[in-house]
Amino acid sequence: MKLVTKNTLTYLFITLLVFLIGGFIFYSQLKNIIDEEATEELFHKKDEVIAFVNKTHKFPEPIGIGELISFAATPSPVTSTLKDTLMFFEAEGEILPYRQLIFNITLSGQNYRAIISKPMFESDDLIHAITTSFILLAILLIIVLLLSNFIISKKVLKPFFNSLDTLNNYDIEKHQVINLKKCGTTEFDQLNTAIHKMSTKISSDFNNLKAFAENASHELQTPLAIIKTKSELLLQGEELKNEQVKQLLDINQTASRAAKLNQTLLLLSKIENNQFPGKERINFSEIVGKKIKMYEELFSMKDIVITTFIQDTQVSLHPALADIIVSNLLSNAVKYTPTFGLIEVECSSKNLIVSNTGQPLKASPEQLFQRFYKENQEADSTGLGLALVKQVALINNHTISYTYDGGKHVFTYSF
Amino acid sequence: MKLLLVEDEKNLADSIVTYLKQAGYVCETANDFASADEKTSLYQYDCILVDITLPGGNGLELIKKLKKSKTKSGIIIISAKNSVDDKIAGLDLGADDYIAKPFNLAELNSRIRSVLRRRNFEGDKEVSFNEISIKPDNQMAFVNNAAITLTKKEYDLLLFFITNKNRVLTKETIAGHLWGDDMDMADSYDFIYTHIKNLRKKLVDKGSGDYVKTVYGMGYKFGN
Repeated sequence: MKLVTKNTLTYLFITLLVFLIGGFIFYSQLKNIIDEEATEELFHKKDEVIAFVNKTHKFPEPIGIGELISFAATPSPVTSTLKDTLMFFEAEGEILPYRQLIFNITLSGQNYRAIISKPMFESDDLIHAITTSFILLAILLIIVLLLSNFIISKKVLKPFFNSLDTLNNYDIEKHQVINLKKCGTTEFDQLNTAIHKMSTKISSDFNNLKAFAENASHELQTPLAIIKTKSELLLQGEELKNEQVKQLLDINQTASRAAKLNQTLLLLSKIENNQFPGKERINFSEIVGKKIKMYEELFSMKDIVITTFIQDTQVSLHPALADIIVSNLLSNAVKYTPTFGLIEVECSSKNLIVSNTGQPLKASPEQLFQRFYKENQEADSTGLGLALVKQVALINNHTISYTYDGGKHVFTYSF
Repeated sequence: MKLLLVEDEKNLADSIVTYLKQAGYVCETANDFASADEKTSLYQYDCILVDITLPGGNGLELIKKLKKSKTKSGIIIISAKNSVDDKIAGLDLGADDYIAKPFNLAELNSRIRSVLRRRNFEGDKEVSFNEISIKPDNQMAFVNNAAITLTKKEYDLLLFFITNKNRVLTKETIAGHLWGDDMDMADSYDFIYTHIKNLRKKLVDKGSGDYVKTVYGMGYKFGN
């Protein structure tokens, strides 16, 4: 529900409640005043009657419509009482409430009971009149309320909706700092300041994290370089036993592997953080051709037959990322194609398809693109190649998919 | 050949110096920006190896200064940052080569030799070992002055061997040199064998001695 609607409904509910209570109070106040007025009039009438009787020594004729005066002889004097009763009102032909004042009056030594009756206003009529005017008021109020809310949402809430739009379009991956204009409304200005602070913090946190990851990764390379060079020097020793050579080689190669892993992780985080900005029109088919040439020796060594179907393809992409896509898909294919297997590379402006023969996957296709997933626990693989490709696809709004079809693993990278 | 190694990590500097001394260079070290600046202004070096991150300054700044003073030294950047931007920045400043840590010492040696050759410090540009000689300018190899036809890979391999003669070269080092770091796959080590076998055959056929020794389980060694 919209804020304005919610506000309006709350206002309406409260207003109606106030109107209801107000109406009731109004009604009872009004009724009280009328009642008092009626009573006063009765007493006034009584004084007039007594004065009339004292002066003329006879009872007056009833005066006015609906007002009744009656006299009846009574043996003992009655005490003055005021009471409400219902009586038939001839003029309107219905039973109406009356207020009666009963008092004692003496004429020629005889006690009379005098009753003055006065019809009261009908509560129904009163309630009706009040309700009607209150409903009219309420309708007027609703119209005013809707109108003012419309104006509020158009004018007063505008900066809020602007901020909302900005937040909706905020891409957390881009780590921008949001700067919103001052609008003069305290709360919205506070909100905008908070948004500004938050986005600044996000951006600086991101930069710190980025710097930390890069520094940590670079700092690691130096000790690895030391391990590598020291083991390389040791390998030059003349009197090494075969077992020692093997250990030294393992040390040397493990250091290389750690360095490679380190570099690849840094690369992955750089891609994730969009640190390869700027696309350019590149000849993708040319890159594919070059890479295949590079891998030719690997293919022939495993007696892999490679078929290519490469169309001239121009793609808008960062060159380094294009390189990552092609080399990782190719090296993945070489790694998992058995000897005498087949590799097919198809490149068109729509997609790049690399397929190779091989046994079906042991894992689910989704796992394939996860970091550190290795189909075979091959020591030399970092398990990051396909994760890199997936990440490149993600930031470029491309897709990479995998299917196993007719004894072939098919990777399709669609632009 | 006189080299200056600018590297703040003493352990690493020691290893590099040991290897390069064994390879026949005179090698001095500087472990921060100030001492590197001082040494380069006082002495003449044939090649200077510069780490980018240094205490007291940036290696790139040092290169800028060197280039301003119109140095004749070859410059190789050795950096822990394997970053394309750094590489481009360094080469734009006039560095001759860029090698990322961790590297193989044999590879570093080969890069130094190549820079020195290009800068013509070695007098005649011929690289030779006994009856084998190489003219890097036109990428030709000779046995007893008779030209032999080598593929690009075989030629690179021979030059790498002669540059690092009498050194044990692991298959990984050779693969890295021939195909670059992008292709370090265990599989690739095996086909080094094919190239070495062919090179050996071509050399021996032309009457050269068989200098390539297989070091069991490890790699190869070129020498007497």
